[in-house]
Amino acid sequence: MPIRIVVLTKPVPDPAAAAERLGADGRLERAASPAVINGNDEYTLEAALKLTDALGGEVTLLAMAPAGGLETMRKGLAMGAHRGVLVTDPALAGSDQWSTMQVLAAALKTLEYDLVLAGFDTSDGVGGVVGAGLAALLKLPLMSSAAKIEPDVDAGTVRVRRISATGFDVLEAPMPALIVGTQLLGEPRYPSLKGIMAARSKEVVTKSLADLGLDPATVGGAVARTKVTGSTKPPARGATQVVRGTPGEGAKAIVDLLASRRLI
Amino acid sequence: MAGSTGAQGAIWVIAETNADGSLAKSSAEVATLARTLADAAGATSAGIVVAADPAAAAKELAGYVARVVAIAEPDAAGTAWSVVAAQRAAAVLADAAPLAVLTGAGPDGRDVAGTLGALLQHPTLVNATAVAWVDGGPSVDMSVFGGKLNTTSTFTDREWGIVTVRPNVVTAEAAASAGTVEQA
Repeated sequence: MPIRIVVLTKPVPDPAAAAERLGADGRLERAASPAVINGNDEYTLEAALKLTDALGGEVTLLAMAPAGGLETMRKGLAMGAHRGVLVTDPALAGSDQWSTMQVLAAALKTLEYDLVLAGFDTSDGVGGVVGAGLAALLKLPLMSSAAKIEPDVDAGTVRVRRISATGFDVLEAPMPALIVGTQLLGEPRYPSLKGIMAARSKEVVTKSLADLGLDPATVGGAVARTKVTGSTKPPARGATQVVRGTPGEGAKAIVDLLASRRLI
Repeated sequence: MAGSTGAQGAIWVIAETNADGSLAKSSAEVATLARTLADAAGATSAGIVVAADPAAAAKELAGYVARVVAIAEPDAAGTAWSVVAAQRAAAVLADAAPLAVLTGAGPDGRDVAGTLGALLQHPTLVNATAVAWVDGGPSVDMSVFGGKLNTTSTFTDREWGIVTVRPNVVTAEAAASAGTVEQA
């Protein structure tokens, strides 16, 4: 039986370009850096495409982004997603995570789906809270840190293998459900030339706040509940440290270094 | 739950537990931070433990904060812990306005923070590398864009919010005297 999946995607500054910067208002200067689809979203998209390849059905991309987000969405369409929904509105510039949750929840209420998939986090803010917030707003079962997704559309349930501190837990919930994926879902496919050509003609619906029945006085940059008050570049990296000795001595030196940096 | 937990004027931590029921290391760190911020704010530090059997973790947590609310939740003995924990914590925190709520920034802490923020309709600052108490609220340092930039952020309009705190940015340090544990 076919399955309907919505995959949340976000355009982020291209990490490889290393051109991210904030303006005087603490907001990202989007023109300064090319945008790409968030890396972790590609993993959840790949998982969705594998499911529709096996079961039939459709994958819809959903993003809240400036109008230029349409071009970023094209890669997801080129990978094989069937259509897209882009929520874009000038009032959304400078939105915080709270507004993002509200807007995406409103958009999801206009769609029909069995599963909503969200990436583990985004390469810009590394927050990872929007998925859980959306599940709460929409009263959907939340299944996070997913390494494997196994829906049973006939039974209306989904089983997820969730990474835990001790290995894996197995969750099962009724659909529709919201799943936050991990990179263990599998390497994303490269878009084929055929996919890239087809992406140009796939439907992307654009929705404004008014289309979603949302008041700019309640969501968006003007009512952001967090603000950036300052930013600095991290200190330049020091010279490379070479560790010599036996493998055991090397391992200890590495562990000691990581512990001293509070990384472990 | 008998009586009010008196949530006003406190910096709260939503603690995580290990599989054996002990307090997670990251939560001891976050609890230390909560106490530090509370001292700076002239306020109280408090924590919430939600688990199938919260006793051991609650006792440990009381070594770091002034008050602990221990919530026994059979449904928490499974894999939907973060949602259950957030729901139970929301019920405690909804009675009055905390000064701030801290969670870990690991997978479970993020889920708690996201769920709690949605339930109580309060904002979140994430992945903190440092938190200070400045001008009546938390000032949160974060590493963004893959470490290429450090930012400092606050909540607007003096409202309270949730902060997820990265592991190992605070060294856990027990309080001079143990706090109290109450069952909810």
